[in-house]
Amino acid sequence: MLSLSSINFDVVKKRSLIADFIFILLLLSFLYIISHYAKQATSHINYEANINLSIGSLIKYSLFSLSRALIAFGFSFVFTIFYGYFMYKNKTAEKLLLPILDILQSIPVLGFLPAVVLALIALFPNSNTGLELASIIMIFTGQVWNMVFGFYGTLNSIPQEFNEVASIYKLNWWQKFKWIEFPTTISSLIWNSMMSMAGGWFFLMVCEEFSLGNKNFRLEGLGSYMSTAANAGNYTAMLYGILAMIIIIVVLDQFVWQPLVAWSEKFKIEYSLTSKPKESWFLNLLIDSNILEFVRNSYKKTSMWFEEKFKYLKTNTKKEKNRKIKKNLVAKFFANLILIAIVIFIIYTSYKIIFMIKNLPSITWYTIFKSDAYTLIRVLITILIGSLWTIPLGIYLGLSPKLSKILQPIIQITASFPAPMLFPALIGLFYILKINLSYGSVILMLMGTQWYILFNVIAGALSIPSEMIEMGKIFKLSLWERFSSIYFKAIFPYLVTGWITAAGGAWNASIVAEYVTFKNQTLTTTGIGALISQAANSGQIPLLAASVLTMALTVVFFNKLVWKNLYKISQNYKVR
Amino acid sequence: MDAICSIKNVSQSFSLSTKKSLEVLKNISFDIFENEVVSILGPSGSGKSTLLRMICGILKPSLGSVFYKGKPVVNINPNVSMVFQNFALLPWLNVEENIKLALKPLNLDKNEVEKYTNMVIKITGLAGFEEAYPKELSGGMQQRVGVARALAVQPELLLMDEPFSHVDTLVAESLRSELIDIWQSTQNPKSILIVSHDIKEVVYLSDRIIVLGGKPTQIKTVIENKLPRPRDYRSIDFLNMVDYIHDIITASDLPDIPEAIETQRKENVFEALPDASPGEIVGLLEFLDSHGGYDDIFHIAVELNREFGDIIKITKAAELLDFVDTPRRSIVFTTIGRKFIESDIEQRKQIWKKEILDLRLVRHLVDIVKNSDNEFLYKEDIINEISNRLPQEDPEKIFKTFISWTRFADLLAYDSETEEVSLQ
Repeated sequence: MLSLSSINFDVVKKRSLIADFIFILLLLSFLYIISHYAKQATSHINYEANINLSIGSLIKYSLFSLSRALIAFGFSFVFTIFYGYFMYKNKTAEKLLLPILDILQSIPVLGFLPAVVLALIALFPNSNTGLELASIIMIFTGQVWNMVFGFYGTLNSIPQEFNEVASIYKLNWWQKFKWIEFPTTISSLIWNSMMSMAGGWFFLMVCEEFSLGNKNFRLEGLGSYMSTAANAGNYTAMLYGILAMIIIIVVLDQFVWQPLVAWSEKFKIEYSLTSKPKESWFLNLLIDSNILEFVRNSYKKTSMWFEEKFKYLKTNTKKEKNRKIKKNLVAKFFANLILIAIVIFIIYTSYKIIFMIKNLPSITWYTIFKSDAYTLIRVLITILIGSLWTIPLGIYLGLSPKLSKILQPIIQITASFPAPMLFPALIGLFYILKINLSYGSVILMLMGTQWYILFNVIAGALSIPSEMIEMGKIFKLSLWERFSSIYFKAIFPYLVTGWITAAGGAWNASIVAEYVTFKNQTLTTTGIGALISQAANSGQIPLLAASVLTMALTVVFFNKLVWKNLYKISQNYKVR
Repeated sequence: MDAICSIKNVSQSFSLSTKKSLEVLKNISFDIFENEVVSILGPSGSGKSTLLRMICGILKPSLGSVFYKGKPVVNINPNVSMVFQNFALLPWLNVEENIKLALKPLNLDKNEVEKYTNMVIKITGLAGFEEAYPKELSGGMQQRVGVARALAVQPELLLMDEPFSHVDTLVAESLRSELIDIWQSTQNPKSILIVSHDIKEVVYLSDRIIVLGGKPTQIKTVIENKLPRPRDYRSIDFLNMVDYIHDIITASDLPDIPEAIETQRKENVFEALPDASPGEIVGLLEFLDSHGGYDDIFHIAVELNREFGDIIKITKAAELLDFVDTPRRSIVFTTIGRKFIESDIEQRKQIWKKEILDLRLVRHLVDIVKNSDNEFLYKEDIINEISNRLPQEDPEKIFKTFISWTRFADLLAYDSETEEVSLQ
């Protein structure tokens, strides 16, 4: 409605020393935290760290957990770029890697536990590094899959014209990445990163304290602090732990995600100013910093220097062409090598797993299938209850942009909070209210996953064209008519996406929702999640493998049979 | 005759942030009467569509109010209906269902719903497409559904928001003529208000054209369009009208004026004076006289070795003074122009004086000099008056022209030392 030219953004750049000071302070504290963590992570092995419930220790633990999550995120990021880019560029790889991703995504964190822990402890028998790495990799498994899917999805949705532009102007791969692929994917990559960080926090308690057979492992961290506090029934410590988690989430949001989101706004593919650009106070502050300005300028200079060099190389076209052909051949060879390695690895693992589970008695299989069915029902009930309240609220919020703007950050932070940290407290409540964990676990699963539905419904409602909303009003349709004929159908494609994500989350959450430890007591109920947790804790590796496999296959089949078809149907309701 | 809908002093601002706000519409007033088609013409982003939403009652103006049949519009206005730029059809409903959805809130019985639906399907040429879904239809067909849906509720006033801007040009032409047929042959809608940025479209459709412009948007002028219906896009009168409006929008130069609207202009508009001296104007007329009273404007520019733009300016001035006519690209004498050139210097001054006093701005400025206390005013006063009347123009230039023209007519004198303008 408004054109950009009509608004004057009279920005006068003022460089400030305060900004420099804050920047240096942040950099130093970041280095301090990481080095402190590194020292701890390389110290002599300590399988079961003693957890101190004092506030001073809590601060240290929180910083350790933050370091783990950030390192895991670094791995996730690199993995995402390589895996996603490989799938996007290589059609053979896509056929192989996409289904693998589907399966990996549906394996709960405990499914990776034994292999990761045993292998890494064998690698670093004398130092904490193995254990720390195991924890980091487990957090990584909670973060990474969603990021890869998001990145791969946006790569594939790069407008065709952009790729044509790249071919017409003969951009080389680096130029194409820099000017087309990176800018078009960065925005969604950042959003997915936020989601993934939340996914990583979700299993923090499991990742920092776990048992494998008769062996217990505990690392110093916020997750293990919470577990210890819950086991001791120390409500004050639990409250402190929850507060620490909230602070971490808010700080990350304000100092990392919001600045990144504001920065990535300029890459959005949008030709009209439909909404106000997002702002971040911290980014605005950083823009004022001399040091960052210097870094930016030096980056620009070096990249220009490189491009000059490149131009020089490029002028020699014939040589360049030969070189290119050679380079392509080498790249292809390596790609095939990697693919073959992956295939061999898959065959080897499958063989191992089959060998492991082939001797399980049929009664055990019966238990596994029954538990799986129970959890399936819980997942579906979770989705149903989650939808009942999030659909009306989400539509309401999406249709009143002002309100959603106020509430969005609050909902976002609530959603990022790892629900399992509240489970022990809730278990206490269930105990008082005499709620069976068989039903109670649905509530626990709901707490972790309803947000996905809410977010998608809000996004859907925001995307309803304003003319369509006005049409409903001008023709005086009743509220029910508007809801059923317009709003619900318009959000349906988004709702289905929300359901798919929520269902995946609910399956994974079942391992902590159906098996909860509180005051040194373990509560369980029939379900595949409980079975997996039990198997891992008691070190019954064949049972663990069989249960994880069953769950993963159920999730994959359910995706293919139900969600995918529902998704196809929902595309008919796409407004644009 | 009472207006069915009146917009009174409406302004609209949007807040950009807590401190800044952007005024989009400023002090807009107009009426819509029964049995007329009114257009609002303005560039995109000028807030035209916002006006429609105010008449519907889904948006409140920041200032001013909208009246429907004398009553202020507070809720959704039940007597109007809207056709949307992007059609706003529900993709999950077929043609018939989309139309019936609009009838649901009216609580009609089943037969009536069928009757109305079938009627609008017939008159909008959708027969045979009842079962089709919007995405199976072309843009033109989709907008037929949009029109049918809007007509189904029998609105007194039909609002159309750039209805044909997303429709193929040729299809849009036929849709416009069908729209006029429907309007003329049915009882409702009695009146149509259409928002558009397409000059041809508004000239074809409307009886009155409200031209918006400026930032914030204000009404630039209102043009009565008396071209007889059915209108022909290729007729001379039609093209002249299009040119005229085009000139109003693109420039502040005085435009070519089709006869149908000449009276309107003289009543309402203060004309800017083109930057041309009497000497230049007389020179042009002399040149024309020596070339048989008729020449091509390009040819004149070449012959006189002047900038084309200068010749345009001089021609505009001569035309404003009724000395010449400019059909297409040529210049011809009017009777007044012929008489002027055949007269001696004294008679010429008399004719000149009569012609410039026909211009509203000149008459007004001469009047205020006459009515001033000492029969003189300072340059500053005149400049102020000019910038009040013609805020878009350069007042210095107009002042210069005004002085040279009135001096030539022996009307006013100007002392550049004291900067006094006085009666002669």
